[in-house]
Amino acid sequence: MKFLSIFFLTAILPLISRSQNMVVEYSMTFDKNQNLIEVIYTDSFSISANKTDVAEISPSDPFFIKDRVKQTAYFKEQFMNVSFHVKDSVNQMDWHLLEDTATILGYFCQSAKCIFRGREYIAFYTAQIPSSEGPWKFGGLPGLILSIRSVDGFIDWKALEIQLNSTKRLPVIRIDDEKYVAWNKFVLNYKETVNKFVKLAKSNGTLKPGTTAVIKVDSAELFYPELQSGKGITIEQ
Amino acid sequence: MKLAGSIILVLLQIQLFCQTISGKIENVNGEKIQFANVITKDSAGFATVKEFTIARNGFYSIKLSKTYKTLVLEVSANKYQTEVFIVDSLSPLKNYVHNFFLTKDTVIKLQDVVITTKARPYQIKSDTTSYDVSAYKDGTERKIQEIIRKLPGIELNEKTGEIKYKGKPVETVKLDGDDLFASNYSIGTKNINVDMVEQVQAIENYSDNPLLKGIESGDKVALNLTLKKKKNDYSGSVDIGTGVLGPTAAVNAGTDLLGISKTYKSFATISYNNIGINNTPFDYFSYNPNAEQLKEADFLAKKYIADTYFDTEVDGQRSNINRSFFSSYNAAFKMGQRLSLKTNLFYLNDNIRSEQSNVVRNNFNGRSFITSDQYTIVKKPLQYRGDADAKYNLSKRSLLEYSVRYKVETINTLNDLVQNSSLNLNTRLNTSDNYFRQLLTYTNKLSDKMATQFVIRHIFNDLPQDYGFLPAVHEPYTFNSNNQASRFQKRSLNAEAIFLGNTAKGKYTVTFGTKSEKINFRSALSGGINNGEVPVSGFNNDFYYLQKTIYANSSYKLQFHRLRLTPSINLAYLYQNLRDKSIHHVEDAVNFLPEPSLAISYRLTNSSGLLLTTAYRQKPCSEENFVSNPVYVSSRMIRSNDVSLQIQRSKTASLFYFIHNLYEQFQLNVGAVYSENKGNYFANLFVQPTNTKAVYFFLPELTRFLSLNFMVEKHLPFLQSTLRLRNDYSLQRYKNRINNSSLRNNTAQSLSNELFFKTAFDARINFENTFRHRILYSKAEAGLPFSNHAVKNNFQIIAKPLKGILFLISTDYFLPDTKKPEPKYFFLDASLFFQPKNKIYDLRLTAKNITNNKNFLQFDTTDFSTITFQTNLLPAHFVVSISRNF
Repeated sequence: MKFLSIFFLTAILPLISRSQNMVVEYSMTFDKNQNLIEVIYTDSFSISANKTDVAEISPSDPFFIKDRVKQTAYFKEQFMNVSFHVKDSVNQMDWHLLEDTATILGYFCQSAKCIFRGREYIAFYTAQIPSSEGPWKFGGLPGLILSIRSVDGFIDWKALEIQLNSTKRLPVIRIDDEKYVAWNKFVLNYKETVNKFVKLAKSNGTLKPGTTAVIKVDSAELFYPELQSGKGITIEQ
Repeated sequence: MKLAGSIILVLLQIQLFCQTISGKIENVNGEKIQFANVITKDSAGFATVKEFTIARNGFYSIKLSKTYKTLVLEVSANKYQTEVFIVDSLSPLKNYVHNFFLTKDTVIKLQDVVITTKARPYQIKSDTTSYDVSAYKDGTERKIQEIIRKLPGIELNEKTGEIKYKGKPVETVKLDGDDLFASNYSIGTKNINVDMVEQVQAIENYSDNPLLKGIESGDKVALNLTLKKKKNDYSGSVDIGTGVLGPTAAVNAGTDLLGISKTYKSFATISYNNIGINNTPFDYFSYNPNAEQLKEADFLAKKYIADTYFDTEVDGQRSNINRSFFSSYNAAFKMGQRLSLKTNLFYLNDNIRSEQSNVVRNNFNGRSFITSDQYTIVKKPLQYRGDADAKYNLSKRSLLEYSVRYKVETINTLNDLVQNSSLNLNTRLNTSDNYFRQLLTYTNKLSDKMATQFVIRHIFNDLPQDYGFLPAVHEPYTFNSNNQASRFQKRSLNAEAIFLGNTAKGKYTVTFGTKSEKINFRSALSGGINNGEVPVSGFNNDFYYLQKTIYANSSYKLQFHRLRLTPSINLAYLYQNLRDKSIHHVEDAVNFLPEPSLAISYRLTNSSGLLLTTAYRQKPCSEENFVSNPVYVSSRMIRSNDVSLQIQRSKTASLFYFIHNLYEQFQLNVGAVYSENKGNYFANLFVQPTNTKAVYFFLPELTRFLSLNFMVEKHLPFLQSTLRLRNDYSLQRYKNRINNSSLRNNTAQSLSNELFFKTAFDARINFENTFRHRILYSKAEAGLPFSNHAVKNNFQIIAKPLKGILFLISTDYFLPDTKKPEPKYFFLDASLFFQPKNKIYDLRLTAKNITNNKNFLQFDTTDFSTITFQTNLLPAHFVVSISRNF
């Protein structure tokens, strides 16, 4: 019942009380692979998902939900076939406004930069849309972020389409706050899982003697630099 | 300027030397506004934001980083009108409070205001798992297959080269996105050098036809090898190995060449070895059909006289005494925007030699006797083959594909044998296989969610066999020699219309098709007298068999969150006609064959699931059962059949449960498969000391089969080791007759247990051990049981004394029959690998079978006999190899 109450009080009611939401379709280029991501913004929530999946998304799919009231993002991280349900504080970016401007989808945009978990980002936001939101974990600027890219070119979001008064609703995703681990705890769990995997790979016979396997995970956030940057972690057999 | 509400300016006590402005943000009813943006500008109407803050719960506070004399403060919130307040004559040493009261945005906005820009083409990454294991760099092996087998989720069948990803066989292995090899991808995986490849990608929901991407429900998977970017269009490697193999020289040499340009991609390979290595996608040593052969099995003509294969308990690299030459050229060309061409050429030439003995202890109907055979076999397969494919995009939504294949294969097998320690016999089997195939496919994508396909397939396969015996085995007092000729010819024509679609709940496929098969078979036995050949009466066959099928097939894959249901039904109308001129027999049969099936999978958690499948199948019997008169199918076996065109019906059910919990470092697989075939050709065996006559006859009786599999694996952190236990059990209940007995009910069971243990110490030395125990048990209902227990143990020491140097010692211990202390075998192998820092070349020393075992003995059982089989082995050999990339 506790699960249900959390689900109904925090997730469902705000969604059904407002009929008009904002929907932004972003092209997200991640390590040279391009995806179409749809973000639905309500007054209190936003959800990002692959465009083809967003209508029928289930908790087992990759999703990203921001609860603006709690200032918390809920999402799933994965290493191999181990999943982690993670909650993280949003809008942690320390933005510095820049002079550059651009017009994106007809909106006047101004630029800002920040450093977030190992990468430097440059964003273009428009104060003409009075939302301090953006895709993924990005936000905290005085207007909707329409474009944001990392300076190293690894990740790049661009708005392709904006529906200001869409009747599209958020899919129902059940969030049980207690089942989500906080970011710091997740980082510890993740590192422990990677280390377990390395030990398993060394001893379960999949690697032939003399093999040196290198395991590297590309990630926007560099919270495990040995794994996520440089050559990666070497497994020597 | 509109200001709703009052403005209060309060002068506060000076606390800091910077300016701070704060206050409430509420609506006109005095309710707090949850989120609002507060920005500062130089002047109203000027767009550039100078500073900002995000207001929450109806309160804002902005600490200005500079000092301003005049400032424009602008507050905006979703669904409210923007408010602006200008502060003049700001004092640098004061803090200000200003409250905003916002009014609802009363402007009626258009529904669904859509502003768009043109989307770039994209590829969904979620289907592709890239092993950014950028280099699963390998210190010991040279070929990419050695890396593929290590990737999580990938299984490699060492014998066939078949690759499975997440349990599904891969369709192909692409090179930088181009499908150069199709089903014969093992040419690539067995021969492409590790150093040429940057990344291995596993693609799920793969469609070989790009127009069916996202529509097809096939659950297909494929691999893609992304290649390292080179300055030159060509790259490759040379491997040269030589040494001592008993009294002769050991050779293992090869070269690969990879050519890549914008419009052209090719891979060529040439190799030769005499140390038991198979670099080809074809297996002539032990019969393990490859992916392509399995896929096309129904279209191939049968080999009525079985070719010789060498199936041994020891690894093929110990017993395959070969001289194998293989070359292959594979190329893809892009001819403009619409047309692409592909060709694959193969040449293979092998010389496999084996000395074997077979002792069979027969025991049935209260009678027992021993037969023995000693064989000296030379098998020479020769294959030429060419494939060509063309793809033409008629439009963005339609594609025309044509492919053609021609293969000529000959296998000459000479066998010098001694039967029952007394009769010397020479046999010569020449098998030719001429195969021609054409395939035309037209695909039309009707919408993003629907497509149609029209397929026409034409295959002609001619398989003449010529089997000579000297001296004669049939009527040896009349003839000097015998010659058994046999020839299957098969023509198939198949046309299909396929409708594919993708709905919100799942994907469906509906197929309508027709298939016609025309089979001719002729065989004759002749005897040689005084330099002439005389036909032997009663041993000739000449039949024509026609099979026509009209079928409709429908399957729907439905997904309900964790549950996936795949019901399907196949409805077929089958017409069979057999005209046997040799026995003047004509038979027709018409059948209507419904075949329902259902697969249910349920994902219990992210790391565990259940899979249940059930199917009912009906099919006509295979054409080798329609050969009515006797044919010598081996030096000991004469086969004939009591012909019937009846239908075989089978029911199959399987259940699998799995846990793959990486976090707990725990894996568990449990599975059971049960099948029941009603209607089979059973054998009536007339077993004699000199030969066995087998008469196959159809009975609507049951044959049952059950298999159980169990696997558990756990990493033990306190021992820094992994432990794995695997058990496989199978049970078959079948029927036969021996020497005109009544129908016997037989049982064949096998159980194999494997225990694996490997250490992963952070030290220079590690250990690995695999223990296997196998039990075979066969029994006829009222007969004696025949059983065999065998044990095998492999132990390896892996030492890395210095960087770049690896030393490996491997031992194999075999006890083929645990009830007897002898025979037992001990094999010792050792390898030393060296790679210098620059990694341009690597050097290896390999010693195999150091203990120089010459033969290997193994035991098998049937319901009326035990079989003792011995084969010779490659002698001790030592090879020094150097490999260099260019």
